[in-house]
Amino acid sequence: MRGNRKLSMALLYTFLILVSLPIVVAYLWLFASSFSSKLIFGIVPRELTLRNWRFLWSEVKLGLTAFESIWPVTLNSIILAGSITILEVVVSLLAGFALSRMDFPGRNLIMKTTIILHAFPGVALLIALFYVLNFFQLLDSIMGVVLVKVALELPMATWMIKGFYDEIPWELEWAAYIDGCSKFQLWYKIILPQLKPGISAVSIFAFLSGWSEFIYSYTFLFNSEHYTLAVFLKNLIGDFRFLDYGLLAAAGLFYLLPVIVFFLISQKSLMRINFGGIKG
Amino acid sequence: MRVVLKNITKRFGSFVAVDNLNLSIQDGEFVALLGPSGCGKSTTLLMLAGIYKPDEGEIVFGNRDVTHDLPKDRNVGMCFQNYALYPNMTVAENIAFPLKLRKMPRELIQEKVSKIAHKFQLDLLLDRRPGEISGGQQQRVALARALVKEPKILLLDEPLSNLDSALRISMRAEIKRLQKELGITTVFVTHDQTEALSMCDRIAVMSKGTLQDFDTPAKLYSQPKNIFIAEFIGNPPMNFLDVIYVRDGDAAYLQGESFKIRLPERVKERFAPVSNGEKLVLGIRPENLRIGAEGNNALKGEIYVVEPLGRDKLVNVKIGDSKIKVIAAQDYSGNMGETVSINIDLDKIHLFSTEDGNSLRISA
Repeated sequence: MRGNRKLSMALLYTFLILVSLPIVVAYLWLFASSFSSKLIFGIVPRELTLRNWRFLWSEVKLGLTAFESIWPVTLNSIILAGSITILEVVVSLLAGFALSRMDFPGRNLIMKTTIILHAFPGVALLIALFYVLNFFQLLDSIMGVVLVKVALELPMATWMIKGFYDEIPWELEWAAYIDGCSKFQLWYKIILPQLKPGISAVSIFAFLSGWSEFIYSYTFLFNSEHYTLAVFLKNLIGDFRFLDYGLLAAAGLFYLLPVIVFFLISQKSLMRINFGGIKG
Repeated sequence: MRVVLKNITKRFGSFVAVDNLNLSIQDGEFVALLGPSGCGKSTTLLMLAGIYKPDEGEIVFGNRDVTHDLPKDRNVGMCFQNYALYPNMTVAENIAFPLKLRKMPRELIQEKVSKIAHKFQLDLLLDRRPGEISGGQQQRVALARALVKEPKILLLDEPLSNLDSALRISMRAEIKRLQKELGITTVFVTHDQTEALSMCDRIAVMSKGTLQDFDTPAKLYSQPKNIFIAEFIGNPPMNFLDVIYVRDGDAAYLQGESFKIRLPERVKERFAPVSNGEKLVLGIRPENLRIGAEGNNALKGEIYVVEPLGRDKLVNVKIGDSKIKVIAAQDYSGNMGETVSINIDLDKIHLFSTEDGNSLRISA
């Protein structure tokens, strides 16, 4: 019995290791090649160097193209992801409250259709969105991308926040009113603290999706002043003849760092996400 | 403070939760709203608190019409079944919360909180959060929070339902004692008749949104106004037997499937006269039946099952097609299947009309 158990555990681990190996190798490659000028067998680094990270302190030239400094681009990415996060949290907090606590005609319909909206592929809307942004003169503006992204992400975020509102018992609100709260005090002092995990979950999702946003930034932003990191990376690959893999790996790693840090900080809140259900 | 509900009606959509309710509660009185779930008792309590607004009627506290006042302007304390403590605050912060909202000076809040915490034996728990203390402790915190602002009226919504039975019985006495000490007008919602009977000065029995009766526990128990109250109050519940009222000259009889009982003159006079042959429901409590005694007014039946309750035995007896419960002494030795005769204490019987379920008793 015991031997059998050990054997099956060994098999299980072998399987899991084999399955996850490609991903591990990919990350190893990324890390190793960003700090070396040559790799042996694809992953063993030789000749350690910081040259690949030169984009942090100097202008980068590949072939005929000169690339702008990475810092303003990073700032753009932060502005984009940050604005998406703030806007999404604020709007979904309000919308989630309405869907969870208020009774109005069409409430059920809204709840059932919001998820469909989320399932809609964003790429299919690209051309239509181009016209719309053009009409509002929001083309080539980071705020334009923010609005599009928030509009598409909002249903999911609202749904998540609604789940957190649903878990707050009515009695808690009643007790607060009887203790002397005004509507705003109730929301601020009693409800908001209960929503903390929900707010952090939505912020994490919003920030990550804003940070990794590519297709809308690439389509709707023309001026290099407005480029974000994702677009910058795409341009590095741009012309394959002059592609510098070391540089690409370093920039990719740079792009990845905030995400990893964010994940490490927010792991706990992520684990507490609850999507709730439809209440009639 | 005196509390008066005048012609209160509350609807949710087309559902009438409370229908034309009239209640007048004296200053310092401890009143229970008793009824099965969905009878409108909690809705009534929430209207007193100001959470719900009545669709019709008015609510008066003392001499003030508070029908349209917000909860915070009513000076009521309330305790919920699930306690509704603020999970993000410590016990001390929970208790202090109503005082903080009144902008009371910090030292005064501190003083009041520690005083009431001492009264409810919460001194050692003040820094804990609600999630870190037991149900009984949570309940004491909820009571302390309700009482710390020295409200004029205390509202209790099934405060004992979430406690285990031993704790419930001890809290029953504690709350009753507390209410008398503070002399605070208290309205207590419960579906448990034992709680209502044992704790309250008067009980308002509700069913399907309407008030059935509002009276002292003793009166509700000994002279129930209708079959609903008779059935709901008392444990084990009252026995009911279908009978026909038979007149024979001056004499009156109650005739059942297998028995015919003559009503003595003094008993007959207590009930409104009904015509010969009318169908009635005879109600008699288990403790007003005596098992084993032969006599004129004896019912014959067969023992269905015997349930020893410790202090006494509850004997289920089959009479014709109906079953009744009889309280017998602890040493009663009847067995299943035996034929027994049961004597009715005719001074304690109740007669109800089959049409509207109202008691035929002529109220003195």
